[in-house]
Amino acid sequence: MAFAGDLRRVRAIVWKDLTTERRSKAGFNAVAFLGILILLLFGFALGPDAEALRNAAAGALWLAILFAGVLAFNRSYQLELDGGALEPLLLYPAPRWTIFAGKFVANLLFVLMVEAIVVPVAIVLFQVKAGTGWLPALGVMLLGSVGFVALGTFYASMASRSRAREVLLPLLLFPMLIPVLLASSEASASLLAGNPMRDAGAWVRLLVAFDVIFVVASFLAFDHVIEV
Amino acid sequence: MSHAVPLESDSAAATGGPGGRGLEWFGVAAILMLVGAQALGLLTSPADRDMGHLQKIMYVHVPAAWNAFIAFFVVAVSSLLYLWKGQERHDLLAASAAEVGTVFTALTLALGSIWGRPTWGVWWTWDPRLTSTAVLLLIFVGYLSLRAFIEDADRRAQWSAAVGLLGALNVPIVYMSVRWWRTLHQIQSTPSTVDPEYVVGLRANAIAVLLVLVYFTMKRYRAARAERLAEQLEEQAALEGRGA
Amino acid sequence: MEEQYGFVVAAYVVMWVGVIGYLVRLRRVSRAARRRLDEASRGAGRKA
Repeated sequence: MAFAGDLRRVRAIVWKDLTTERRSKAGFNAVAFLGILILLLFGFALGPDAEALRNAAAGALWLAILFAGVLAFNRSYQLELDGGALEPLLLYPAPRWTIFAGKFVANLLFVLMVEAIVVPVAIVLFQVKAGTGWLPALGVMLLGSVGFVALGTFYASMASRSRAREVLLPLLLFPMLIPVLLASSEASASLLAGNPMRDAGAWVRLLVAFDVIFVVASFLAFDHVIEV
Repeated sequence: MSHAVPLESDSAAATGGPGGRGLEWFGVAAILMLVGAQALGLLTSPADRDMGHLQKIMYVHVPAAWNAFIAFFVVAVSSLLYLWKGQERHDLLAASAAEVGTVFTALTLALGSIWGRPTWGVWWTWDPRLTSTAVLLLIFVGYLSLRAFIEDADRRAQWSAAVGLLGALNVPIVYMSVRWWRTLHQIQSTPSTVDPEYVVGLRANAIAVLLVLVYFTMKRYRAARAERLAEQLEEQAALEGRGA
Repeated sequence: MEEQYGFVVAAYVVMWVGVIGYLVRLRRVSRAARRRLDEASRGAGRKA
């Protein structure tokens, strides 16, 4: 019964965050465009040899997602901090984790929408031949995004309330994301290269473990962090 | 005075009372021990059949690496204790151990690089232990910059405990992921895989570096405690000034 | 062989530069902390 109420609160926060995002639009467009821009820059840096581009595609795509996505997380708290709305939100008689869950889901949807634009562009620009492995490759993207967004949402709850938030968030977040970067780009590379599940299996397991550990850890730690 | 100063009893230790003198002597002993252990290692070890005299780098590289990990273990445990009990001393201990651990990690990387150049022919290789040590360094540089960017003491303690704990949690995952990604390293140097004639020197050096680590951490802890005490006094003075 | 010695010496020099460098920093940090504490407690004493 109480749990149903918590879920309703989570949904309310998701809806609120996505609505403000939808009404402003500028944020999403800028982040998606930055992702495309980074892909283009990688193309210039690595190309024009088609083979080299194809081999680097998965890594370049993930870097574009990380660098573009990291901008979204501070935003998700910034709107509330600017409006002085975070404190009233904390005053609501509800468990703190519902706030984190709401932000997490909203950010995840945001990042997935950015990916929906950036991934097709990467496939075209880097001349990726999407073979039989494209469906599991999308699953890998989803798993990688979950870990990325969980940690991003968590660290942004601190970085956005400190001095020098622009530099602090990537400084804290990117070293933590090295397993996600390695696992997602290796897994999607081997899936797209057409030797399905040769070494992708181990990487997928690693991603699942990472997601479980850090979703749980950031949910638990958020209670302590948002308090002060 | 209506506002009692908390931690008053520690101010003697923080400003260097008789307890402070004891720590200094301990520090001198630790440094002398390090000199002695290095001399022992250098003088007693014969040239290795594969690595020749390069083996002697092991006496500084391996103890630095072990002790860096001990320091980060201390960070993880004190961060957990802080989140659990909320006592300031755990936060200050975590911060001190993190700073000292960062120094030892940087030393480990530099020494590993100096060892790697003549042995592997390159200054850097994307080997699991080297790479995950570098990631560890980055995680804790992030931890220290977070601390530097926050003025509010409660916030700093609470947040950095969370960051320290998550960072420590990530270390084995980073290691696994880099190991799967690429592997090229000799078996880990523990006394069991090292020729017996090097064991004594390695153990002595490990213990000496451990003592230096303890001295550094205690000394840093004491300074952190004094800083914190000063912060509280200043805060109090400011509050009283406003009240008058 | 001579080249090897160069690397060994370099390693020990780096180790000691690190140890002594950090010792110097510790000394500076401790002294600054002590001075700040002295000043703060003098201020508190004046108030009382």
